[in-house]
Amino acid sequence: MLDLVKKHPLASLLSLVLHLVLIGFFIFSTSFNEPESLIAPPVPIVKATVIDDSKIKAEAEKLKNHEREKQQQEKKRLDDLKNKRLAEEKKLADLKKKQALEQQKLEQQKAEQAASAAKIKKQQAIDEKKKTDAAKQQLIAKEKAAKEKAIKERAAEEKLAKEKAAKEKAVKEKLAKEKAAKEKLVKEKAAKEQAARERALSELAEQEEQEMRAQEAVASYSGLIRQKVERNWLQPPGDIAGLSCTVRVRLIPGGDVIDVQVIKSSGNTYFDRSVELATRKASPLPLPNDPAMFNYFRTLDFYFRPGG
Amino acid sequence: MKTTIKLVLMCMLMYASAAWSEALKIEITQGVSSAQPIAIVPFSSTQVVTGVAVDVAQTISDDLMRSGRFKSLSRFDMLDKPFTAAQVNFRNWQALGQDNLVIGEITEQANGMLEVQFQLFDVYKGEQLMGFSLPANKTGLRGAAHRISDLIYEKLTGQKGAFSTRMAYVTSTKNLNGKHEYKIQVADADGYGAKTIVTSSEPLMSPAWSPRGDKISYVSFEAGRSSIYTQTLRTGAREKLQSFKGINGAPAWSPDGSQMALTLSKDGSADIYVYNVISRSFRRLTYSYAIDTEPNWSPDGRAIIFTSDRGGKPQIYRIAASGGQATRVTYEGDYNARASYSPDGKNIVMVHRVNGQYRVATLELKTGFVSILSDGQLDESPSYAPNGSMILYSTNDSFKSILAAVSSDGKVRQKLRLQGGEVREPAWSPFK
Amino acid sequence: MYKKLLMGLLLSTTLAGCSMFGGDEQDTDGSMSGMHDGASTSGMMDGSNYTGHPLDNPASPLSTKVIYFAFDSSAVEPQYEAVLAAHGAYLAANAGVSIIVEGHADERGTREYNIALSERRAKTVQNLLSLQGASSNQTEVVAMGEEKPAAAGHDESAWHLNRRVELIYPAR
Repeated sequence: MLDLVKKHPLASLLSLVLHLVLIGFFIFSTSFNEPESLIAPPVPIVKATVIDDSKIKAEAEKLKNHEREKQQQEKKRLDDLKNKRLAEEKKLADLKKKQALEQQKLEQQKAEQAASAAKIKKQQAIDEKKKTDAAKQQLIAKEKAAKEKAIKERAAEEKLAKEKAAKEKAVKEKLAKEKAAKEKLVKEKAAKEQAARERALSELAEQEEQEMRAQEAVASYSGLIRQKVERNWLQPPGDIAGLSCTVRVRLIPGGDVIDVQVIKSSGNTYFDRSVELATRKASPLPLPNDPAMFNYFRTLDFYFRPGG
Repeated sequence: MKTTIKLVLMCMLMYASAAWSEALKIEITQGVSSAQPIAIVPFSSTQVVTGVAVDVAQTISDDLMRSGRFKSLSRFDMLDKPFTAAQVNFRNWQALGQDNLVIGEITEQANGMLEVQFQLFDVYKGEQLMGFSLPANKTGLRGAAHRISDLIYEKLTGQKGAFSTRMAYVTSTKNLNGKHEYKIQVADADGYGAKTIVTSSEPLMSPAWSPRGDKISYVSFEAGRSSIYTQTLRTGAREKLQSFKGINGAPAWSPDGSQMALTLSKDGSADIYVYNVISRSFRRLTYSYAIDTEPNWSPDGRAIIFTSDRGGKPQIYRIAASGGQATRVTYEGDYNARASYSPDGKNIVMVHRVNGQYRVATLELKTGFVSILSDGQLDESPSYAPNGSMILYSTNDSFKSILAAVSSDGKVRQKLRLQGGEVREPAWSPFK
Repeated sequence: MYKKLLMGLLLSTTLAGCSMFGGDEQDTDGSMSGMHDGASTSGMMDGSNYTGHPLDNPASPLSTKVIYFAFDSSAVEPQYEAVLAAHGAYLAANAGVSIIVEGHADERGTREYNIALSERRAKTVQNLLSLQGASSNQTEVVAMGEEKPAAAGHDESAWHLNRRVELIYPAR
């Protein structure tokens, strides 16, 4: 043990200190726990009830009386029910008697009605005979008139038919005409639509091609612009890795830089200045000849990030 | 079916083009890392200023060019030479590809003092970035030009300029009698205005600036053996450090000026010691049987790096200034020596041998990445500018040692033509 | 070419020390010209009938006072063992004589490191002298690094001459 201490004085010392600290810790923590262990555990409380003998007797008596009353009430109830049934049976018998009487009265009425009907039928037959004789005379006259009327009507009818046919023909022709026109219209419309569709498609293709061309031009001129700015960027000496700066550059047609604004500083004045100077010195920036393309290059954001 | 596809495609295209017409986004990841173009128009005088032989604009131009961060427009290429803001036509300078423009004027005051006024413009924005008026006397015009260089440099790079600093270096010449003459000289950082602070017939070496720039310590063999001296520049008074048997060399001041690390071999092999300037006591820092030399303090003064061949070949090691175990710093190549910390403590510069050539190289301490900055065969004694932007060193030019400067990124190298013989061991001063 | 060969021959043997003394400051006069005539007087280099100072006897290893080293090395090459043995014995026999053992390096490498390297060379030589009985207070090591080259060139022929240890006896 002593050798060990001698061999590793530092380790031994450390271990000693650690032990002391541990022991100290135990003592310390115990002295803190003691007051807590003195608190007595809570005692459960029992509630006692005293029972009185006289009360029990009174309770029994009360129960007995109650039973008796109940029996009396039941008997009365049964009697009431019997009386009620008797009254109901009487009422039913009365009702049957009344129904029989009403049936008798109804049959009497039916007989009276049949006698009256036979009398009316006899009078009707006499009236009918008188009527047919007058009608026969009337019919002869009527037929004659009808014959004349028929001739007249046929002529009129023929005329009408003629007119109607002419009319129908006209309508038919008109309809045919309309139909043809309509068909023509539909056809024309379809053709127009087809043409429009085709035109739209070709326009689309053209637009697409234009966009492609624009995109290509933007890409290639972005490259040219980048190269020119990079040629003009004198990187400040020293450690600039990790610095970055974004400037917004406004151009006029022809590519001249008219404004340079730092929109995100690197935090390093000299770096920012080198960036600003690079974009100004690169002016004019190379732009496509097509003036329509200028919109793409009106405002440029340069993100300077040395070393990529 | 086809139509639907086309429709969808069209919608997509329309959406895309709508987004483009908002603002086309272009990502820039590459740039050029060449120097910033700057035009410095010759400073004008509306009146005749007598007794001034300094071309202020040329001095500024040379300063900025030497830093590697700027390329200055030749005045022969200038379309006009304005000296007031009203005369400046920014389009002209844009056409010449200039980012920055400096104009200035020198006027003589009634009391004979000069006033040097200058303005710095952003050519593309057409804005003044800075404008100052500096007083100067006629002999101090060069100093004023260096101060303007400092101001412009700081404005455009965000880094303090080091053009008003100085350098110390060793020269050796043979006089008419064939005798060697060794000197330590102090000059402006551009090499002008050299002043000799000590001359000896025996070798002088290892000049080292005190952190306040008021003293230079160096090694002299004037007694036949090496000793370390500390000389106060203003008075020329010098003090010899206690000398020991063997080597007394490689003095290096601690950043707070209270201590000096040096090499002594009094206890056997060369080892690093720390001399306490106040108590005048020595403390041994390294204990190897190998060579330990060329100590240099970290900018925070807590660590010392040094050259040691304890591993067989000279490599750079680091040790806490308070002592302890040294750890190896360099692993690339079989010869790394005379290291010193960059002012920000992130890099060290050292002599690194590659294919038998001795080159100036930096090592990034965090990554261990080594960059070779010089291209000579026997490049030596690299010394950081106090702003860390450049490194002075000595190199051989047609068999003669001369000084050269390289930007700390290695992109711009320039030789400094100084007067007199071999010039070596440049030591860049701290900021004033 | 012949001159170079001759020079090399001379330097590697008896004239090495003189080439050092023939340097910039401690020129020891006529010995230089004498050496240049040396080729014609070589027949006289017998040693047995030499009447000058034993340290100057061209036939004696004592006349060699410069030891050359390989690049980046402080090991004494075998051909110098006899030279150092002779000097060690001479010092042991002449307790009153003390010398400077001056180490040098070529210009390659850093200056302060070269100071230390030249000291290591000088100390190796000092140890070998002690082995022969030279007392430690008879030899003083001075490390000059690359500060005092013997040859001015920037190639191996110059560098070889500069990687050296000089045994400097007091003027006689």
